[in-house]
Amino acid sequence: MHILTKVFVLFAAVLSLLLAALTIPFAYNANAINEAFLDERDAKDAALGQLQAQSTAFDAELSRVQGEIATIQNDLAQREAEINDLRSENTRLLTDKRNAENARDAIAGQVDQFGETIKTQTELVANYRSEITSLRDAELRFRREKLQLEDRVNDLESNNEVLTQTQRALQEQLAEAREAMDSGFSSRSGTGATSSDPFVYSGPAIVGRVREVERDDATGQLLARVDLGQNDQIRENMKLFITRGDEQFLANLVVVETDLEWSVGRIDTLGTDNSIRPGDIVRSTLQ
Amino acid sequence: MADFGMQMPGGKMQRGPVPDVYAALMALACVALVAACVVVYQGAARVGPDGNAIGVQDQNNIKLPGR
Repeated sequence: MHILTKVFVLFAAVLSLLLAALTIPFAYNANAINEAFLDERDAKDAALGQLQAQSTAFDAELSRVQGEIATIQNDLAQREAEINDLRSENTRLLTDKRNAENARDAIAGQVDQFGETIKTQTELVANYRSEITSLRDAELRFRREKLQLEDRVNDLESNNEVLTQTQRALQEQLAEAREAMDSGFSSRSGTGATSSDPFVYSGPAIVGRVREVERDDATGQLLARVDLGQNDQIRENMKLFITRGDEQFLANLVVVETDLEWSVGRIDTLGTDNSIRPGDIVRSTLQ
Repeated sequence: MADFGMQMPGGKMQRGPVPDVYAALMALACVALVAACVVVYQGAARVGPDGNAIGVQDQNNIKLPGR
C-alpha cells in the first residue's frame, strides 16, 4: 500500500468522525426544531381560531357600536338642527325685542312731545280764556254803550220826525193857502189833499213794498195794496213810484184809499206792458 | 505499460511503490468527506443553539441564530 493511500485513509477516518460528530446534533436539533415547529403551528391554529372567534365577536360589537354611533350622530344632527332653529328663533326674538324697544322709545318720545304740546295748548287755552273774557267784557261794554247810543239816536230821530212833520204840515198849509189864493177857494184845514190832480210828496223819502195786486171789476183799473199807511205820511191822491230793484221803473201809483198801516192805489203803467208783482218797491221819490 | 506494473524488456528497474487506484479512490473519498463536513457544519450551525454546530437544543427553549 502506498503511503499516500494510507494518508488518505487516515484523513477519511478523521473526516468520518468529524462528520458523525456534526450529523448527530444536527439531526437531534432538526428533530427538536421540527417538533417545536409543529407545536407552534398547532398553537398558531388555535390562536387563529380564537382570533377568528374574537374577530367575529369584534365585528358584531363593532356593528352594534357603529349602529349606536349612527344613532348618536343622528341625535347629534337633530340636536344641532334644534340648536340652529333655537339660534335663529333667538335672533328673531332679539330683533323683535330691539324693534319693540325702539317703538317704545319712539312712543315715549311722542308721549313727552304730546305732554309738551298739551302743556302749551293748556297755556294757550288759558290765554284765550283770559282774552275771551276781556273781549266779552269789552263787547258787553260796547253793547251797553251801543244801546245807550241807540236810545239817544231814537230820541233824536223822534225829535227829528216831529220837527219834520211840523215842517211838512206847515209846507202843506202854505201850499194849500197858495192854491186857495190862486183858485179863489178858501183854504181848508187838515193834512189830506182832495184835489183831483195827484201830488208828489216832497218830504223825506218813503219806501215800502207792494203786497197785493188785483184788478177792480167795476172800473177795470189795476189796483195795488202797499204796506205804507197814514202812519207813514201817506195821503190820498199822493203819487208814488213803483220800481223793481233800485233802477227799473215800472209804473206810477196814485193813492185812492189809506189806512194806518196800508194803502190802496191805482196803477198807471204809462202805456207800457210792465207787470206789477207783490214784492216790488214803492217809493215816494225816484232820487 | 510500466504504469500498470508490467516489466517490459529493456525497461528501467522499478525503484518503489507508486499510488494506485485505491489511493485515488481514497483521495476522492477524502474530498467528498470534506465537502460533506462543510455542508453538514453549515446546516448544524443553522439549527444549533446560538449558531453552535455541535450544541443540542432544549426541547422547551429553542434558540436559533438570527438571519
